[in-house]
Amino acid sequence: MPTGFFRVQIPTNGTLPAVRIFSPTNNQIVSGTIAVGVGAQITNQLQGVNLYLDDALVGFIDSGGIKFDLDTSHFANGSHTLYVTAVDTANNEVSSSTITLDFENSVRWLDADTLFQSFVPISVESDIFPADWSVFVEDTNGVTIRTFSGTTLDGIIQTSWDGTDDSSVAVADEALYKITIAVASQSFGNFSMMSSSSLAESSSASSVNNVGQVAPDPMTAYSELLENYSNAPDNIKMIYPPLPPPPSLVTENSTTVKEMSPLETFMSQHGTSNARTVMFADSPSGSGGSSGSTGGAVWREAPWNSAQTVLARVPISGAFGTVVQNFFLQLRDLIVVAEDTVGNNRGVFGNNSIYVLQSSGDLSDLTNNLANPNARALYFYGHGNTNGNVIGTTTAGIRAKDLGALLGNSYKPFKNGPLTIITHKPFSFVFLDGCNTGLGNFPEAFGIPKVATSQSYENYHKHKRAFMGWGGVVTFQFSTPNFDWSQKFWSKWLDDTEAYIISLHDAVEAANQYRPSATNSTPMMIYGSQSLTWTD
Amino acid sequence: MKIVTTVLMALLLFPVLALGGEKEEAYLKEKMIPMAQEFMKRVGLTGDSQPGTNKVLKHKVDYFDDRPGCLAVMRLTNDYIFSFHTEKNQTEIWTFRQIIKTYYALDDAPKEKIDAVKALNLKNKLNDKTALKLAEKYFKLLGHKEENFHPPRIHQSYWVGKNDVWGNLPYYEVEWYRKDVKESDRNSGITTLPEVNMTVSGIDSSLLYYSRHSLPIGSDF
Repeated sequence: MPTGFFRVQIPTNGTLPAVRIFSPTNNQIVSGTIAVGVGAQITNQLQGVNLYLDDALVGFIDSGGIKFDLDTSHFANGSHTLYVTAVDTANNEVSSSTITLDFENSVRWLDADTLFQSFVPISVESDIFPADWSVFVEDTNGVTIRTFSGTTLDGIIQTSWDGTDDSSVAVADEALYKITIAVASQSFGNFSMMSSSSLAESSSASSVNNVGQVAPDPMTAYSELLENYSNAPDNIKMIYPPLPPPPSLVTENSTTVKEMSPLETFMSQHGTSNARTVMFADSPSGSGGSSGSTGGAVWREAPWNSAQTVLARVPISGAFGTVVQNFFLQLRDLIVVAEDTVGNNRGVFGNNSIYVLQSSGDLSDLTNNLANPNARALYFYGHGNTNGNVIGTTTAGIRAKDLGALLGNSYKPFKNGPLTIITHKPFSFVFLDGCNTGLGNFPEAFGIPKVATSQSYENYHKHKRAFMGWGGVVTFQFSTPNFDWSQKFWSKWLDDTEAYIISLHDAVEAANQYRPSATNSTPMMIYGSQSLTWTD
Repeated sequence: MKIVTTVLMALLLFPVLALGGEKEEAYLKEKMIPMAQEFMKRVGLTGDSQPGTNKVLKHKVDYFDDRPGCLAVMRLTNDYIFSFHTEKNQTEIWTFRQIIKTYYALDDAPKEKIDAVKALNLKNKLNDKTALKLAEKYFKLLGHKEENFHPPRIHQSYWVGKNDVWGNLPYYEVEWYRKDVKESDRNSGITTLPEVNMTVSGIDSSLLYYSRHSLPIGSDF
């Protein structure tokens, strides 16, 4: 996950271009959240840095200090490879050397995701068992709003947070929540409970106390201890612990005690003295230890429905332009006909308008309309820049970052915690039919994060969504396959013979079969749920 | 008006003839219908095991213009839909689906419809384990070999409605990626990974959906 919000370039050793991972180091054993420090020096301005774990994209930065926070407790234990790539504004991509890391976490949450709507499924593996586990949900003020717990005999924890607080009231939409799953062995916990009790009896100097527990009178406790010491035989006095200072010398008193959070209480009851250090697995919990934790931040999306499709294209002159124009008219008709089957308000946005983008004013108009609550899908046919972060005409464009800001879809840090994507206006479907559109940050701008597995959509029962874009340069003119590909894709996906239940994946496969040459050199990228149908 | 009526009557009586020419008609009779019959026989869809042209609601054949072959789709009157892929003289069924409309358009559905969909799940007789076994049976019956694929992944279908209302459906989706697909590629945006997908019904244990992606015609490798 990226951190920081200002652009920097870090020189490496003067050799251009180069990118390398400074930390961690090769073959290091790591656990919890680790900082991945990167240095990059490239010929042109740095556009972004991507982080790959086992060849899969797990994070990217397009501005700010080049440092990733990677929570290793979201991946399986064992050997993993890590490398970064730096992309400059000319779309040159340089890879670092690959390092190998050994992940060792006693508690792991493998299918963690950062977005949810109704509930958050929690599927955790723990090497500590039999064990007590507790789930703590905090809001952005650090207030624990929900706690629930259980036990596991085999280290498998299958539960979920239903999106309500301790009073069974649904928590607010469009807000961030931090989830921590703490696990502690039962045998260790029992021992710790005893230890904790004796501490409470013997030491009034503790600066923290359990919520609801009456603090012992320090003078009474001291008197009892003194009496026990005085009455003890000499041989016992020899092994008795040194007497603590009398209460008058203790700097804190019961009127200044700080209440423990539920998480701190759980961890102290299970023998972990500093609960804060294990939140987000910041400290190495260690495989086979007696306690451990994992967690993450999640964003609760507001309820939303699929809605109308925005159709936009750039003007093209000549005969090919006429073909494109006619195709857009046909596509509009297909969507209008489909609306009869899939439900109301699923037609073409703007009273069946087709936005023809000729000027920067047209682009502004389009951008503003994308923020309209009724617009939930987009087919854009036009130009993309070299790195896939700008779409538009040959003279004006829409930046992914600006669009994300307008729609309210971007990464946001939890207070003192990890980053998560927030989505004020996610889209159901976006197809940016232009050069390199699958390479940049438009998926995130439309609330369809690249770093999300299709499995997570299924596990979290999230509203399905998908983004499509080309992974390279495409040419739109006669005798080139890309426009044919797009036409076939749409005609297949909206084929009423198939009752509008054909999946995006099947429609793409059909287009690939019609025009295999289109995707041989330039891949079509899909992020999100490939099982999306027009009826979803 | 009379002409229009005549055309409509003809469409009603001979929908197949109205939608395709002789070449398409031959493809329908010689390829699509026999292959659909064989497919249904294999997976035990016996209700309409011998569909003839009279059972074809719609069909369409799109020939490639850069090589011999085509893609085609056929929808039967019982709402079975088959997609066909032909390269030169080799043909396969590359998708099959039964249309299930029960969870269409739940965004603004009335409470009664939501309740009906929720009730549907009560008819579910399967769980992840038994559904996987069932899907694996269909997988073999359709000629695939387990050793050519990674272990399958299964999840129960679901629906999402308005105001965070959601629920499970009595259907299970299973996917098999071919052995040569890297784990990291599965969510990397690549659209050409060889795989097989299925959905089975927890209500009557039938095959609801089947597709094969980026596999050679008629084989796993």
